[in-house]
Amino acid sequence: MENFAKLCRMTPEQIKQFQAQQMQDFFAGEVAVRHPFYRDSWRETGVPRSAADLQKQPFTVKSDLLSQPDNLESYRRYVLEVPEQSVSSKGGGLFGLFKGKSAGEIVPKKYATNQLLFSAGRTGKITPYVYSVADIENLGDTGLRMMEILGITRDDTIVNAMSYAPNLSFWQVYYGGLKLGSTVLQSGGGRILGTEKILTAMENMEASTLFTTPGYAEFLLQTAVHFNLKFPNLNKLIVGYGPVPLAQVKRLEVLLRMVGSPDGQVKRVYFLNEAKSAWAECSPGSGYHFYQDHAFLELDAVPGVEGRGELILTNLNALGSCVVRFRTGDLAESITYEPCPVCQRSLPRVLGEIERLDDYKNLGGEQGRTVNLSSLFSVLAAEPNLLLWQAVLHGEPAQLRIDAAFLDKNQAAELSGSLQAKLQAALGVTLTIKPTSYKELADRLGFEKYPIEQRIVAHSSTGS
Amino acid sequence: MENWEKLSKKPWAEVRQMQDRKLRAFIVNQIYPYSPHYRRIFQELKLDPYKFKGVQDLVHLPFTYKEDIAPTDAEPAKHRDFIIRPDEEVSEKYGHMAKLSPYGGKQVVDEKIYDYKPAHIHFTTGRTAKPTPFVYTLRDLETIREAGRRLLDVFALSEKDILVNAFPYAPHLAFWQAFFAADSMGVASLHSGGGKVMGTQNLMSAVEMMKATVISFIPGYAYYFLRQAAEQKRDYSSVQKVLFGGERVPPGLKDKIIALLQEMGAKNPQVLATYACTESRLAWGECPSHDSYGYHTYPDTEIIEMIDPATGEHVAEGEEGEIVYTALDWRGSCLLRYRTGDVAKGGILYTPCPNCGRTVPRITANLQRKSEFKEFDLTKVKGTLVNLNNFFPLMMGHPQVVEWQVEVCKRNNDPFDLDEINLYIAPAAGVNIEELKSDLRQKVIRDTEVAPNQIIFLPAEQVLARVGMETELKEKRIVDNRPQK
Repeated sequence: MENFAKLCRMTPEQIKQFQAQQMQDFFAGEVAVRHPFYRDSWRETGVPRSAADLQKQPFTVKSDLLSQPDNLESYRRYVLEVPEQSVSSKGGGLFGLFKGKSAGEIVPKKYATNQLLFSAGRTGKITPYVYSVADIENLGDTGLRMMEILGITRDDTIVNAMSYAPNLSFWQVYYGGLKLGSTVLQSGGGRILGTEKILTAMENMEASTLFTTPGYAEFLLQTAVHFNLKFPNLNKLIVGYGPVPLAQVKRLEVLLRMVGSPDGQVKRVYFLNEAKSAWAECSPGSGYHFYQDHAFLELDAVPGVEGRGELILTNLNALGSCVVRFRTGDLAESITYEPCPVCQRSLPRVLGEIERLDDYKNLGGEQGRTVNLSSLFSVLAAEPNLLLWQAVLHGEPAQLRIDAAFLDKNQAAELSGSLQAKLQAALGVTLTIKPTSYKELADRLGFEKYPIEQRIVAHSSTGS
Repeated sequence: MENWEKLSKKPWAEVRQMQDRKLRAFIVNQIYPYSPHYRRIFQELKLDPYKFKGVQDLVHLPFTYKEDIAPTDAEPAKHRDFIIRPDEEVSEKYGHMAKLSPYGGKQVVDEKIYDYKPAHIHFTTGRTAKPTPFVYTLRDLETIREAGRRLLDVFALSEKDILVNAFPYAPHLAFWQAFFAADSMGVASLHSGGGKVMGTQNLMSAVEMMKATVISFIPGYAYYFLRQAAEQKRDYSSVQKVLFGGERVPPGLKDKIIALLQEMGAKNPQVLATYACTESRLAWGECPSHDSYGYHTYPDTEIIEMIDPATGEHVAEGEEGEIVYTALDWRGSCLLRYRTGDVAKGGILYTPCPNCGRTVPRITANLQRKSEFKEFDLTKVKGTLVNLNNFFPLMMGHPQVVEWQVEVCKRNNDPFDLDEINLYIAPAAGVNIEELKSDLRQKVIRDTEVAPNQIIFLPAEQVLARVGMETELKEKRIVDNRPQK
């Protein structure tokens, strides 16, 4: 990968030129030669040579990447082929005289498969994503870049509480921490180690940095407050792999103060499995900094969604699984190439809250309307009297109910009323609020059961 | 570390000389100056580290036990005294000067950080004591990677293999040793985190999708997983090897696993076992063969002694003994003369392996855990010692037992009454229940010298729920439900 300091100094014009060159080199040198799907499709249309050419290409969607039931290996259509070994490894020819027996092996190791990661997403269907040796090296480099943007140094002691799964969020933190040389506990999150052990480890290690999902971060810190645990060294809480509105950042900052970290900062990271790297904000709201040598992003308008577009991803240096114009299903406000006003790095950035297109749901049937359930995260995060919540879609046509655990149970009825009015005004639909106990909600959200908590569910086991 | 290819061909006498040399240097340069616990031991016993000649002088040091390291409420940071760490006061006082030095000071600091700064942590499972952290420095991570490469070399794997690592994810050795091994050898892998993380159905599909040649498992989960896969008529013709870790492998289980794999199209599949404990910080494996020739150790990273558990005296080569582990040339958490509590029935062998020819010491494969000898009040005469280890080979290897659990409880749930042993059994389809009950009763008496109070037959799902398959890190095969007195 390119020198990071150099990338951080480019002007917007230079970034665009750089990406055009990167596209030409990567598409012509790798994708058009080794990618089974795009190679075939580009035979007719030609290899795209610029961002303008790229926009004429059809989109790739998630279902393209899935294995077909009758052919489980069909995911390989989106994996670059490993080049054939054209010279015998036994000899090495003339080069062998100078470079020894390995000179005969012209298959570059960088193409070989190192790991398969899987994204289960919200569909529940596992999508294999192949990381080559080069991709894993890049994961270390991008991990180091992420740490730098987040202000994490080798002197930090890190607890990685990203829920373990063979996916990007855990492994990005692992490789970043390893490359940095920090002390890291790879806890695997609440469902692996359990909340009690994670809190004990944070206390014993005097952890300065915690990586986890936003919902679990809140649950973990609430538990710490409940048991009066103090973490004076915890000065960085990094959250991602789930929606993190700015209101929730504020909420987490308050919780950090309550566990004895007066200067604790909360920062956000955007994990996109298909990008093969995570993108961090240097400061909340500054935008997710991505890397011009690694990914090209477009924003595509979505009917019915105002002020936001769907992020379209094109890999620029992936040698295992590789996608061109992939519809991520994630919505953002804009993409900018201007230098970051906070850290001054001139990396391109994704601006606005990341929301899921899947969270736009039709409520109330034909006469109803489409509601952005992602907005619940920001509205409810701003409620200081609310501890936990779960959105339940029930009935036919679908109706919305919010199960809520309030700070003061005695005021539940009163708080429910005001919350209902506030949410109805924000979403424009009628809904109900059901006061629920903290314990029941914590169990149903599954902080220690699922990779990410069940914040929005289509049916409730507790009925309506 | 030594070159593995050369090391595994060296005559034992030469290897022992190398160990003497390495141990002397390790004690003088690392243990005595930088390990708070062992420095204290040397001082208390008035031992001169400079007079330490080699492996034969280890007997002058006391054994280290789990309770010496495991955190307690009174001493939650005991484990830190076992971490090799240059004196913190000196580092703080002069560290900044080293960084400023124009003569490669920064490089020196970087080297020290590579050597000594904890980078990665494993925990013990905490079954017999509180979970104890074991730290690895960046240098140690190179060691565990190399150990992993050696492990796969002993298993005769190559970079053409494809691994599905189905060890449950945890900051434990089994998962991470498989990860480092695959990464080091360049084996394409899926580090699934096990059924609890990915779900057994997804994992079964992943083996087919990837055309995996190797799968690594905890033995109990392997049998459950492969049974399900066989019922669904999955195509596992690509699978050549199953690697076991985390638990002992009863001989009968190997045969069951091989039969299931053959049913799914695998040709000549092999089942290979590893041996490790968190304290050893790496794993050893057996070379591929139907008969076991023992776990091939790495004499440049550890010294293995075999002792009589009662007297602590060394036993002769090939004699039954408890495995005592001493770290060699590691950093991070280092133990000397650690009593593993594992008893090797055939002891340790220094002769070249008859199967693969490697000359490294081999720990014989029939292992038993001392802590699983439990005292029971089975009769009016209190304190009968029962070896619970013996349930594993009997139940795992029994062709008519699909799943099982042993429960120890008190009669009438009265803490002062007699102990009872109940067996929960999921039988194979079409088995005559009465005949199986009688067979099990006879065999349990034969192998454990106690008679089970009840043998209860349940559907497989109910026994699986009892053992916590897919929900627990390790399934609960033997549960002690006796109320506290």
